[in-house]
Amino acid sequence: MGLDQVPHNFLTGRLEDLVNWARKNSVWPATFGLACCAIEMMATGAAHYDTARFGMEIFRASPRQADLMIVAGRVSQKMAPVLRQVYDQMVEPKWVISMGVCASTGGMFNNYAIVQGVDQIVPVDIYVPGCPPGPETLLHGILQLHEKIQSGELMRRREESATGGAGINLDERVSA
Amino acid sequence: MTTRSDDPALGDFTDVQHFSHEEERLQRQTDEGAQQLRPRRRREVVITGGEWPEADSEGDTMIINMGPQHPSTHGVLRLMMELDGETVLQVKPVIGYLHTGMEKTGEELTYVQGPTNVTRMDYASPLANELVYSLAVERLLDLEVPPRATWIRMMMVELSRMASHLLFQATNGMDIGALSMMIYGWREREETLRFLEKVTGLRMNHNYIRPGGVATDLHDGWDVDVLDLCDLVEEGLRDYDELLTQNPIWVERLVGVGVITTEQALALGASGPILRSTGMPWDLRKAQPYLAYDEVDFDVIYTENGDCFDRYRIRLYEILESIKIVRQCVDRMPLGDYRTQDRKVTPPPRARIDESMEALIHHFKLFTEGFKVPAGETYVAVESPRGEIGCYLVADGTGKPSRLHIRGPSFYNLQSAGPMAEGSMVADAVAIVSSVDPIMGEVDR
Amino acid sequence: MTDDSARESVPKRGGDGEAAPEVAAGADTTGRATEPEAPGDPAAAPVAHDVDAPARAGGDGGTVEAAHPHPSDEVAAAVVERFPEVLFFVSHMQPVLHVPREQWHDVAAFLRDEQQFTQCVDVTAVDHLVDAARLVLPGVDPERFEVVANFLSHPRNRRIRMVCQVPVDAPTVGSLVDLYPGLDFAERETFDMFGITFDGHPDLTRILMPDDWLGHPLRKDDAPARVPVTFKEDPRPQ
Repeated sequence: MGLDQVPHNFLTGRLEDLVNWARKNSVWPATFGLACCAIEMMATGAAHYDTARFGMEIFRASPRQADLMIVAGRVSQKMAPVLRQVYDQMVEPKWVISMGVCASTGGMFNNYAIVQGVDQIVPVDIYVPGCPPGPETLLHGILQLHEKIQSGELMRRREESATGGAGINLDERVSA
Repeated sequence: MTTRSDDPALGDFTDVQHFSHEEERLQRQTDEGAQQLRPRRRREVVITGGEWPEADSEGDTMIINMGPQHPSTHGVLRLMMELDGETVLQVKPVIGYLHTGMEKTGEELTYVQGPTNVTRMDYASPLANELVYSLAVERLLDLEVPPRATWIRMMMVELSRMASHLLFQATNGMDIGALSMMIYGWREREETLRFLEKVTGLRMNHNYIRPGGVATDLHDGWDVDVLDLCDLVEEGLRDYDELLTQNPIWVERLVGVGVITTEQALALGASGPILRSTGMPWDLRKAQPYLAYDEVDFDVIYTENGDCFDRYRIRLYEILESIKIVRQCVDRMPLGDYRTQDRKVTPPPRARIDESMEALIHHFKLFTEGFKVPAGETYVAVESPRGEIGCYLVADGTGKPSRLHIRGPSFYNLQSAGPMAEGSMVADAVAIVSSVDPIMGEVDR
Repeated sequence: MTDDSARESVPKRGGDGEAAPEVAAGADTTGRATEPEAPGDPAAAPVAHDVDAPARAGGDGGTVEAAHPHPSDEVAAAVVERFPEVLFFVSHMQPVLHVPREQWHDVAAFLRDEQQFTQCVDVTAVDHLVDAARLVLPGVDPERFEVVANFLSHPRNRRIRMVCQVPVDAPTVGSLVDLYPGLDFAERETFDMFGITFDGHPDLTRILMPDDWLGHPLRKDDAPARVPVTFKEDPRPQ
């Protein structure tokens, strides 16, 4: 049966696009506020910037119901095991945004107490610079992540791809 | 029974009839049964899925862990709670999950760079940290700042206090379940941050108040901006008041919860709104005036009951007092330098750097090596939105402090959460921690 | 509804022109402190300033101010009278008591019970291991650590600081938790950061660092204040 024989009002597309589109538009972040950036993360969720526009207004308290961990703030040596545990509790597919320079590289606190970059503990998809990043910067990071999700490959797992990212390899996708 | 506000700004509104509920609740809390259960033996229940351990034998208590990743613990606070059913027998805060080693980093940074470090401690009111640090450095240098710098500092710190208390209103509402309050609180806070950003360049962690003055002068038209902001926030406060103060659910959740007395608060080292909620009008701005607080007219807000509702009200009305101070600052802002002209601590003006080699070298030296501070030690305290924030600074004659210690008010206030929560319900414990308003960056430093 | 008047909708206001509320007996907490010496002079406890200039030292160890045998600060005078070994100095217009280690607890008890110091706002320590210049105070035998406690009296509206020298080979000092329960966290923090133990503290455990952490980070010879930045592509061994 060719497509010309089906009735009207049909759209055809690839399942991958549909699933990615659905995932992109309902990314639920876990509340993982640590420090100053958490305040800006809350500001992003509040009325002025309103992440509800992107289907992300529900900050889930339980990691099991969340897709995205926004590591907002500096990660101390004492917090690192907790962070990893929360990450492990999240179900696939899951993404991580490292918000702020402290989470990304340790920032100005390159001392004994702070993990020098959260990517030593969990794989990070998007790094958001700033100390703290303003809500606009975080929104930009979130939109970048959306793009990454939309262009990701459904059937490829994180471990198989060279650059990581919850089953998504942006480079391969673009070149294919 | 109708009690009328004597504050014209908020208009007249009536108090609700909640007192019978309050008595009932107090009765429940001091129930004999709860008291008797205290010294019983503890049992840890580990819930790992599968069969749940039977909750048998009455009188056994449970240790429940809350946090460090928990939405209602304000960041990464962890509470170990000993429960008997729903009744909290004991609360032990476990902290350190945000320990940043800032005091160690402070020893590595010059006095010029110091404010960038301390401003990240109490990130809800960063200017208070910068202020206390700068005042301590100036004390060690015996440096006087120009009057305009003093008044700019005062105005900015008050705006920061407004932003901090607005944040409290938002998060307190969120913790207790009034989620719309969070949206309202952010509405006004964003406007405040917008002004702070216009002046300092950053929404938070401003690094604006520096030893010797402030980083930059106020922009043209700042007075119009700030007066607009004051009107806007005042308008918003009326909304909060309408939304919460008379709201029966709100009142039921907060009145009579987390009661603490003056003696307890003093013994536990509490300061700020917690101490003032117990009937003690202690405010360093009034008691030991710094900056120009002895020249402006404002009141110290205090209440008698020492419960969560009082701490909410105090913070609400302190925003009004801050607005009052800010308006006076606009009226009386002196002209002149915004930082000291002492070339030892202040870099040369930007224009001079282009034309003078000496100025360029001076500028370079100041920002790489910093200025030297003679050996000595001092303790300086100011009133932050959360209470007494102190800076104990030891200098050893070099360009970096030998020891930088910040006495964070939240660090001490947090200890009072335990005694407050004893005998209350688990849900009340959330309200109590929220009303203490701890900022973990300052607790763990 | 009989006690409605006890709870008004609007909190009370203390301040100018109002009677001091009933706090601690005779406390004038709303009143202004005496004018501080200089504008922008926050914690200047309203003490009578000594004629001597505040102790200050130059870059090389510097000038030294003599201990006051008869302090003009009345609290310090009372302390020195009771504990003759205590030395009194003025540091940047703030009264400081240098206390022998064994009298640490006794002096604090005296301050609390007889001098109305209602709060001990802070306890911390200083490590003087690598100081370029250190203030040398006559009569004080300098040790590596100094434990510092700041006291605040609400009724009398004044502050005083207590300092004691603690040697590195026996870093221990009496705990003040029985006097001021609020110092629980502070003494644990000082223990955690400096390894100074407080005798009599009920639960002296680590508070900020993980329980299995080795060392005491704020000691000058312990944890690094700066760790070098490492890059993923860094060819050097890490």
